[in-house]
Amino acid sequence: MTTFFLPALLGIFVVVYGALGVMVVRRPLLGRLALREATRRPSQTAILVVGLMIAGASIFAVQVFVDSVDKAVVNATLASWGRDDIEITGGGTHFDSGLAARLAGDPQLAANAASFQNAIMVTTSVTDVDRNLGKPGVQLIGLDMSNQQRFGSYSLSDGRQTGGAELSADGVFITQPLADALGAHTGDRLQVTVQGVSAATPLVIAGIVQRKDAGAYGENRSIFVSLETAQRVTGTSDVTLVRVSGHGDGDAEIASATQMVNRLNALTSGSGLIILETKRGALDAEKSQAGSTRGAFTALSLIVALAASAMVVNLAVMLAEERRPRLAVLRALGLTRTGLVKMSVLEGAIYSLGGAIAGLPLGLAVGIVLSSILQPALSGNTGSGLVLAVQAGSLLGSVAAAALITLTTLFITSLRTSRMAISAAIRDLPEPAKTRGTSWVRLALLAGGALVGGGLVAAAGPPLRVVGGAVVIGCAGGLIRGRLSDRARFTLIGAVIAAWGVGYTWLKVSSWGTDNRVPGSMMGLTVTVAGLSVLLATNLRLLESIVRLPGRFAGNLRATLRPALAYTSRRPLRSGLVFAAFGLIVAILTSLSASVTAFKPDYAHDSGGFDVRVTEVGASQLALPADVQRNIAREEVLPSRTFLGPVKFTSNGLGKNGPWQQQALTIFGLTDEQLTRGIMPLYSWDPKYNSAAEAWNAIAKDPTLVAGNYLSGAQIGLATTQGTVHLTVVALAGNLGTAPSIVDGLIASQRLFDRLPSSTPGVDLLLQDAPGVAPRQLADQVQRATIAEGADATTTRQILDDDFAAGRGFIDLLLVLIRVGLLVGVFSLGTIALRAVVERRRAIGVLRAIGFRPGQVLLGILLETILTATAGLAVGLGAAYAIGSSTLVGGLIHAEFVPDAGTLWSAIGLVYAAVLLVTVLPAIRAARLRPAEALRVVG
Amino acid sequence: MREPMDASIVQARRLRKVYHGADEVEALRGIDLMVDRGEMVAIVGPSGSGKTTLLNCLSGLDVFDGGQVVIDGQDLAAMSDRARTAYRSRNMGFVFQAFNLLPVLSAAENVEIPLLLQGVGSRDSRRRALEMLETLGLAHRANHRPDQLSGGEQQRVAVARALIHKPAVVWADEPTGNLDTEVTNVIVELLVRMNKAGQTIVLVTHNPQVAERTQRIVHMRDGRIETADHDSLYVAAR
Repeated sequence: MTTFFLPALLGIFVVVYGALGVMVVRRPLLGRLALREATRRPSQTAILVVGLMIAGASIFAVQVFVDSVDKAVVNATLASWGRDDIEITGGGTHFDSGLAARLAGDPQLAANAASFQNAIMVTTSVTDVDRNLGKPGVQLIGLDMSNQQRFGSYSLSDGRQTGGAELSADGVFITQPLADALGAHTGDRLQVTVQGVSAATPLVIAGIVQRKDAGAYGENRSIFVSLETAQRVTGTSDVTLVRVSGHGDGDAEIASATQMVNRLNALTSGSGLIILETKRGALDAEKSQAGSTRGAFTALSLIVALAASAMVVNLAVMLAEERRPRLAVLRALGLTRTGLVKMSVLEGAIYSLGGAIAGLPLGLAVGIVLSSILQPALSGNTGSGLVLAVQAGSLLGSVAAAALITLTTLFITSLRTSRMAISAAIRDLPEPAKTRGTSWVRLALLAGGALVGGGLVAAAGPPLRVVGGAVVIGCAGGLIRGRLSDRARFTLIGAVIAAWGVGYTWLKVSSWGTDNRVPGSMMGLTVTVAGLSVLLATNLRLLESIVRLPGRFAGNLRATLRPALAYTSRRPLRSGLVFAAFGLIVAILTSLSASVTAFKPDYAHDSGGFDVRVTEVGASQLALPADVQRNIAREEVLPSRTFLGPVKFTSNGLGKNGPWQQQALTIFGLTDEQLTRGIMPLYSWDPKYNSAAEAWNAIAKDPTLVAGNYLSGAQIGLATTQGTVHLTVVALAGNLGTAPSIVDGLIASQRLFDRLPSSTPGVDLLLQDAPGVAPRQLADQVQRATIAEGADATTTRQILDDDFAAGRGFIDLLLVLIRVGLLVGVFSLGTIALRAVVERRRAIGVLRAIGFRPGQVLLGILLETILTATAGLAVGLGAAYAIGSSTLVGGLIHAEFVPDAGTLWSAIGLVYAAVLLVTVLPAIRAARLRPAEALRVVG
Repeated sequence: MREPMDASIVQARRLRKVYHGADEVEALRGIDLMVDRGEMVAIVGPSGSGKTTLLNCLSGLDVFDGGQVVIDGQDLAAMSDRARTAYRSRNMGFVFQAFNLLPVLSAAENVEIPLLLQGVGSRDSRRRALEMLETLGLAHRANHRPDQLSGGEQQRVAVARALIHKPAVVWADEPTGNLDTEVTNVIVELLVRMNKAGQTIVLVTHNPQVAERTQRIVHMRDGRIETADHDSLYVAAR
């Protein structure tokens, strides 16, 4: 929860519950009555608290999950940087190795510095000669072992801890992921290919290091060598990096590093060197990312909480209905309507707080399950086990949010249930018809609502503008009451709100910035669901006549159907509420399932027609022998440069708005001819281009424009010794967390290479196999032929599958959350069935008295909930398809809106099965009611 | 009306009903009661005397613990719940104190439910329901829902529902209990009119004026029938 939101939330909670406390002190009778009502029927209280628990649990589960992921990410970040607080880099160029010693001798730095370590970091290709397997893009990290003590020891896979003494002349440590990729073992011989060095250097694996402690530094696929070995391999006596560690531990260490920055800048001024406060920068970036992640997941959990609130409304109305005669007696005895509302709110406050607190263990359990399933994929922390964390603010905030949401729901419900004709209610007679007069308060509220809505349309961002429009329409509809029949009026309101939601989203989504596309589309979806729910609920009678058709041919089935249909169709407000809650969840589920389809590999499109990718780093050319060439029908050469130095991303879309970071970034430089042909598939492009071809042409003309794995509009800075190279992403080439791509890096014009002289050259070959040659066969053949160069040959299908599997975790998490919401919706339907039994006890008694068989009562209630579920599904599917590709998928990438059939149908099947399951018990209970008992007649 | 098989359409012998709870309450203590075909009988007595329990047991709404109830030659105790339900739908009509109309159905729809239960076609059901409402002076309220009707109108709709399928017996439990004097008279007149047309009616009431309009009064106290004529009512009342 944000620093502003949490105090505000807790403040409101304290004020509300404080006010209720004052109310109890001033009117003890109300407090006593509320407490007595809450404890009078423990089973009813338990049902209500269970309903309220779900709201609390859904919010807390997400907070536990996000807290834990945050903690895991921070742990992973701290582990990755270890004692490395500051890095002094030449942006990939070499510089004098004497710098570290000079800095260590500086008296001003001495107070804050614990150690300075010379290092070399370059991107290479590595071949395991004994396994005949190579991998490109491996980071070679050479460290001055005389200063390694401060930077920690290595944990080897055989269980040993070492400071690096094994890294003698030819010894190397390789990371576990690289060892896995190569199938390498300790003692294997390696060849390392470095740009500009003619002969590959032979080395021996001295150990396999785990990705923790000192071994967590650098990329997953790295090799650690002594500085001397690195200098020999790269053919230089210089270094590319100086690592600086501050004094102290934890935050004190980071603070010490910050103290040194100005002095370091002064000492290196004019040298072209860049000072990066790496650890602090990484933590700041994670915090920024965590904030947006928490916001997105909290929003989803609130949707679940809202669905639970719809259930709470039903439960509260059910209780009020049952207590109606008793409450009427209190009114008759002199309790004002306000007093009744206060009493209900006090009772609700007990339930809400109880439910929110009772939801904590359930939320904790769900949060742990979510964390254990998804944490490794989201935090990148695969080695150190499950990290669980719950901040006090999250716990308090969850309780406060859940209690306030449900209390507000109960307050609004109590306003409705407190309206009663006392004489009728005391005798439990139907509420007499009310005459509608002009209420100035109502008019003022509607006019005020319309003004607020208009203000949002005029001045707010896209998400609130969509809501504002719907508010204006709703209020305008309220103001014309009496001029049209209610049915015509609500039909009009529903239709116009739905049209507004769909139309506005469709027309405007392309002009919204990347940061507004997802929330704006989601809000468009929500407004459309609301409109369709009103429309459907108002006109269910049409459905009634259709559904009743079977009754014409099946004897007294018509009698069975009539009450069931009537209860659904003739209470539009009640039905509409359930449709909306259920429909919203179905709509989001449908949209998410469409993203599964959109991000699922479309091999023909995503591969660009290529079957095999060959990657080489360290050499700008890769020649394939003639016997391999025979099996290739088409070949595309993509020269690359791997920049290893300070990189900065600025993107509003997905929270990538970080500081300068030392990292490796590969850029493919295509010729103008290649760009004009558009050899690579694009998923989306800047709205100012009408087609992918236009985007490619723009990249060909301007070397600062690139296509890449980021939304268009993202800015990327590369700090080189010649100055910062600014790049702008104008097209999405894939791998946006989930969308697959067959090349891993930015795609630009080859002219960009002129501005990156010190980056490591490489090349990717994209191959299409000749007729009769299987991709796997070609990949294996290429792999064998290029083993000496350390190239990596993989089928494009394998790359796309791996990318999809890696990105699927995020979508899966969203699907899990929304399925929890679906479950709440199903419980909500079960509540409706239960409410039907309690509220219609007497009606059931009458039906039984005049001849309804128990089976007909059971069937009627089952039909009613199935009809409600079907209507909710129809609203949700209708909204999702109406908004279609402008929602999650269309807001980000150009793709057909095709929901994943498996995800969708399994959810729908689950809904009906679960609806039957949760409804059947109340329905059986209703069917078993004895008529005399149900009529509550006493002699 | 079906052909008479016996003068008594309702026969109860040594009827017993016990409510089992924390304390066992014997609500009916060996009731013997005969109701002739076409008769209108009022059951009166103080609260807790067992009037409604008797009505429920006679009409098959409730099961009893001893004795026998025979309606139109059918022994209720020998029937399964299913058979009893089917029997009620064909042969009985009910009017309750709280009207008990289905709130989501219109007046006409409420009235036609018993016909639909018997498989009568929808057009025929609707025609007969409208005719019945017209007979009761409610044709103009046919499409109104219960919350749009007055108490008296709701009870007249309930009476229409009880009569629509021409049942052998109409059971009315405090049919005027929630109505003012004027409306009470309307409802009583209606029931009397139906009775004169041959309809057997058994009603439970607290209202002496209502009981007075019936042909016979059964006075109950503590689960037993005390007396069974008009004079006894007034003696008891005094």
